[in-house]
Amino acid sequence: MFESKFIGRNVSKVKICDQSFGAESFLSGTHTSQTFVSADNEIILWSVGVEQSEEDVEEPTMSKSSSISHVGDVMGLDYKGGIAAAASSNGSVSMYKLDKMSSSTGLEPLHSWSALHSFKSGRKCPCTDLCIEDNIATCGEDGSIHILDMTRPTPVRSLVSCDSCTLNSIIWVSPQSVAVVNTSGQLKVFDIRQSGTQPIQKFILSSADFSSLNCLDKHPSQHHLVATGSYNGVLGIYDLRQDGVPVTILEGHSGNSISDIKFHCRSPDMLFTSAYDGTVWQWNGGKPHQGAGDSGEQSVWFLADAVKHRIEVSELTSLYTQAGSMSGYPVNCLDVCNNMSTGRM
Amino acid sequence: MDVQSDTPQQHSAMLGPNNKLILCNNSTEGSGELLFKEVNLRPEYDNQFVRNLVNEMSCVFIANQRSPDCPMTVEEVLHYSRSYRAVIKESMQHVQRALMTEDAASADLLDDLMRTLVVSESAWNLMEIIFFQEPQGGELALQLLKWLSIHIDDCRVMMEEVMKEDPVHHHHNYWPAVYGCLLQGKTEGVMELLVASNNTSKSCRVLMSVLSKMPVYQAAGMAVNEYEGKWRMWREELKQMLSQGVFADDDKMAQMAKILSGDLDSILSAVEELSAPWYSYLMAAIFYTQPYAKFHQVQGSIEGAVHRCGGIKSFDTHDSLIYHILRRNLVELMKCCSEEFSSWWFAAHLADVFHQANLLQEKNSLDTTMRDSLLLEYGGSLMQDHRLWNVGIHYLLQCPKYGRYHLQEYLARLPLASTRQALKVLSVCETHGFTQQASSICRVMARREMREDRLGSALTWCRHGKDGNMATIVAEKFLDQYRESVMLPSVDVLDALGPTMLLMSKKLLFLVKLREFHQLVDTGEEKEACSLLVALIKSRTAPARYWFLLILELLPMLESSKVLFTPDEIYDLMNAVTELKQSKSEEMMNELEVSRIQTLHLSLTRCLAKVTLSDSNALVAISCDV
Amino acid sequence: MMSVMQTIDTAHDDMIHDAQMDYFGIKLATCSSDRAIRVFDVKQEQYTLQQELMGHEGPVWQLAWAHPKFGSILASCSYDKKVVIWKEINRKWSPIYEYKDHESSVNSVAWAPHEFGLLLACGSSDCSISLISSEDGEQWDSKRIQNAHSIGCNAVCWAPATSPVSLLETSADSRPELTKRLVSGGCDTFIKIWKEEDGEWVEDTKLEGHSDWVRDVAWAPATGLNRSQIASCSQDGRVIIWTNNGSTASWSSKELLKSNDVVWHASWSLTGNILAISGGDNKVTLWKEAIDGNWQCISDVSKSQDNEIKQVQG
Repeated sequence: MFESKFIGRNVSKVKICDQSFGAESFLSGTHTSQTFVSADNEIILWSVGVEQSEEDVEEPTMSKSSSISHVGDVMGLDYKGGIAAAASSNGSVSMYKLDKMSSSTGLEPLHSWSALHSFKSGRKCPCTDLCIEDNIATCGEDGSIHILDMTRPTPVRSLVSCDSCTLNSIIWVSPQSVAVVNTSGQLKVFDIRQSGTQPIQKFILSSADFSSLNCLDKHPSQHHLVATGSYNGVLGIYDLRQDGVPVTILEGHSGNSISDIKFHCRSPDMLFTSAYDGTVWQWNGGKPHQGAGDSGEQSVWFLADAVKHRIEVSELTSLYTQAGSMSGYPVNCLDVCNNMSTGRM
Repeated sequence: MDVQSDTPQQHSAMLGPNNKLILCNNSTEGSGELLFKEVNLRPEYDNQFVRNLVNEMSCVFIANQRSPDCPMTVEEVLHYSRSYRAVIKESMQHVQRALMTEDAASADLLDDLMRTLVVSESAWNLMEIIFFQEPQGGELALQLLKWLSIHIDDCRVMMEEVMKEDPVHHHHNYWPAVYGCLLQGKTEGVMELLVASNNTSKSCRVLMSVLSKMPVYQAAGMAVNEYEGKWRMWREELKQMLSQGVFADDDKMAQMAKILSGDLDSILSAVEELSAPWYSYLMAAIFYTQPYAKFHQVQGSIEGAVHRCGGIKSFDTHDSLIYHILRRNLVELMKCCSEEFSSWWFAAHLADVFHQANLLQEKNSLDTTMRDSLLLEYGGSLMQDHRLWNVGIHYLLQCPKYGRYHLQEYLARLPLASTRQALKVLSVCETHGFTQQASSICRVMARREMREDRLGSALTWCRHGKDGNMATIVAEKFLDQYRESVMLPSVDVLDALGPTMLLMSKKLLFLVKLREFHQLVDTGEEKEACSLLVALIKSRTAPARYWFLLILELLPMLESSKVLFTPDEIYDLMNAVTELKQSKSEEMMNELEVSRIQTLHLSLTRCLAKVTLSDSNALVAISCDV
Repeated sequence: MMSVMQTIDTAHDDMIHDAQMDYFGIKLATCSSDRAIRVFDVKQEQYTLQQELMGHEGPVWQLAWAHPKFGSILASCSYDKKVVIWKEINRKWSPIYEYKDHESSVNSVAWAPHEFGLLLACGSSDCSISLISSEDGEQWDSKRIQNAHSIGCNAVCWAPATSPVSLLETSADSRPELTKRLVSGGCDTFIKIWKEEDGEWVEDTKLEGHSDWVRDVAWAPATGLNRSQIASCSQDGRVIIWTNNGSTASWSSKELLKSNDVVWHASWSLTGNILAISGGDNKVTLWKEAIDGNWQCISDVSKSQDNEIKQVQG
């Protein structure tokens, strides 16, 4: 069961809102990929409903409930507890309040941090991703990380040029530490309380077979378990308690660039990846667990060999192509909850 | 002799990227303005509805590409064609909905788009009937009228209005509604209107009886010649009535009877009164003169209709399109589509439908099919739009001869706005084996990062592009910074550099070894560190201009109380220092350098002595020229 | 078909001779009789002056952008007999090399396809063509084709590097060795094609068809097949399209246009599907090769009537 819609724009990011707002909503951001900062972008709030079709089957529907224009491409988008934040290609970050009571706006701009990310020359560069926990963590092409307190106008902690390459994505792995991935194939963990700009942990996907790491996600209950997706279609599983190299490496998407990766929040033995070849893969690490989290046993993702044999992969986008829509175009992003949404082009 | 100053070049026009024409506009007074003109060969992709249409149509296109070995069956072609039409129809609904809410400013644009969509859809529909359904005798006339009534439905609208009035025949549109129905062969509608008017005249009664007796062709259960016979008898009777003056007392009834009997003048005047298009006349004429006809039998009627309706010169785009479809003239049809329509999507997709149906096989002087050249134009226009280039790729890839070349050129010119965008374009290039473009993208990005002093990132791009020459340039920048600060920047990248890169650039190899040396020193493995550095100098992996600095780095180790060098290593260093000194003449060296070299020599000598003493087995002759 | 987007005032004090967009269309360079070169940043439809480059001592005739993989590099040529190569470093432009060996006005400059590295061809009124090259952008070497055109060379243009045959192959590794070729036009009414053989430049073909000075030559971008096309325009008012079908050495010619005035300039679009011709009669015409192989004028713009756009049926 799925519903698709062309919105006449290139969708760069999607983010499903959590229960606090109603799981039936999600956000999307657009990009134009021009060399100048374009104001022709927007963040859209969608609501997902169910409609009875003629054959009395429940069909999901989605409709635009509100939108707000955004300066620059939306590079990253996150949502938590009624607050949404977007990372822009002009190096700034803006924060919004989602208000379902006010039917007129729905997305209310709260605060923005302009020109957070820039090169030494002063030229602004894209803020590539962000992640909301208590604070907002951002990363950029300048290799810097900023930690933003939602109530303060300037970053509370900045790790300027802590990486020599472009940082592609960032997540919180504990209340004090963030994990980032970069274009030279490294995963790094930084403790934001420590002074200095050295990572506390460093992982290389594979030094022989170098490839940019495009995205990462953490296991919803075991936060030391992190998965990354690479430019050459490799899925890496890391145990942050062991330094150096990934625990498991799995190849997918026929070697095409993976654009996004997400664990299923309820059944974390399942994870999803999307790729520029237009496919979405579901990686099934074991029997789906019922209920939240798993039992504290060693996670299936760490049992390297076992996993390889037990993992079932299914291509979800075959669904789409059957329906005759959305074939062959890059899938830019995905988000998984009980429902799933993807954005293309 | 001077070539140009006598007649200065006044006029130049350059075609820039994205078909932008730049004109140098030199007025007589000299000083210049530049004029930019967009050579607008692309449709209005700024319109969101157009972009949606383009996206949706591309999905139909991609899903229906076949290899030439297994062409589509007629059913498949019809299904393919109808999928496009469904997309156009859906788009019409979206635009219609928007038209109800949009403000007046954008309403004009939407109106234009709506018109284009309406024309495209109706032409497409007729094309399906004529080319793929190929209706048989008896069916053809009915199909044409059915098509007509779907696309020109004002007589239905009028009829509904008229029927609301009491009495109906007082409505100003009563007769237009009657004639409208008649011209579209809707005899039931005509009857309904006549009955409602309570016209009790004799001619009206007779006409109604004629109408009710008119034979109707039914595909099942009636042979065409049987139908033709019945129809001819019916018409003979009607003609007799007309010649007997049965309808003489009522002009309207008389005209209707004449139309029914196939009198072309009467049909034409009714069409003109209603300002209906030429094909409305044609289809009525076919229905009332040869309703049993097959396609090839109506060709004369078509030419006749064109002639009677003012000739082809008086036709607008839609009229000509319909004409070429009815004449089954594919070449003219495609020409008309591509010349008159502002948007390539129509012509390109239509051409592909014909291609899949095996109807477009002719070659032209460029040794490419019409379908290919239309796809190239369309794909090219998409490639030049920053939002739709992903869509364009699929069209270019379907052109076997030129597609890949065009794709390369367009890909190379996509703006690389961000790392993400660059990686995306790169992955497209790599997927399709465009190695030249891929390495060019990596090099452009490496240059850009270098300009922003992001050396690590620049090196990563060199690594991605396996570009040894560029890596050497970047490595030199690293070493420049090392010479200035004795610190290496971006060590995280150097540490992660794989072995393959090092084979491509000697400079890079040196750089990485230098980093290794620093790491060994940091971890306290001083002996290994020293051997490494000496080896670098001896093998000349380290360029001579860095020797001085490198030996200076060794100074603490030379002075250390520990024995960290072998005598051979010290000799190697001594030779290096000597060579350095010889390469520079005395006066070239400043005092600092002279004293430094002396210090080095001293240290080396002391160290050698220390090493020799600690190793009694070694017999070493100490001879130094300090 | 064509619409005026905008007019920008370059603020040159004298006549503009050339205006060139860079590879991605994000920079514009102009040059003028006022001896200056002006470089503009292009953002959306905004043109902001980045820098004025002074260095020539006479009118600057023509400009050429190098491929961005070499960095931001611009070449200019002038009546002052000099060719200057400029480079942008830290947002500042400065000359990195001056070539002063020509004995008369240098009329045309063109960078070779990037596959051949940094290689610039220059045509001069001293009858010669020079070829300036560099490995690293620091050390520059030069070669000369003496007496290329008697009385003077007016225009030079490179052949695309893509060997047509290799385009059809999916594997790019098996590219055959490419030959460097360039075309020049001169006051001797001839068009000449030159190629490099064993490091020496030799005349490959001479095309005779014009009756007066050849003003411009433009080699069409490769379109994927064996065919090569060159557009030439001349003082004699004619524009000729020269076609080589790839299987023989001969070139066939087709007259595109005959006007009563000088035709100054010919310029191809990216994929060679449109040809822009500008003439002395204040007219710019756009041409397209129709499916039947005939050339059609798809648009005709008079510069004096900026806003009036006329369409001509082909």
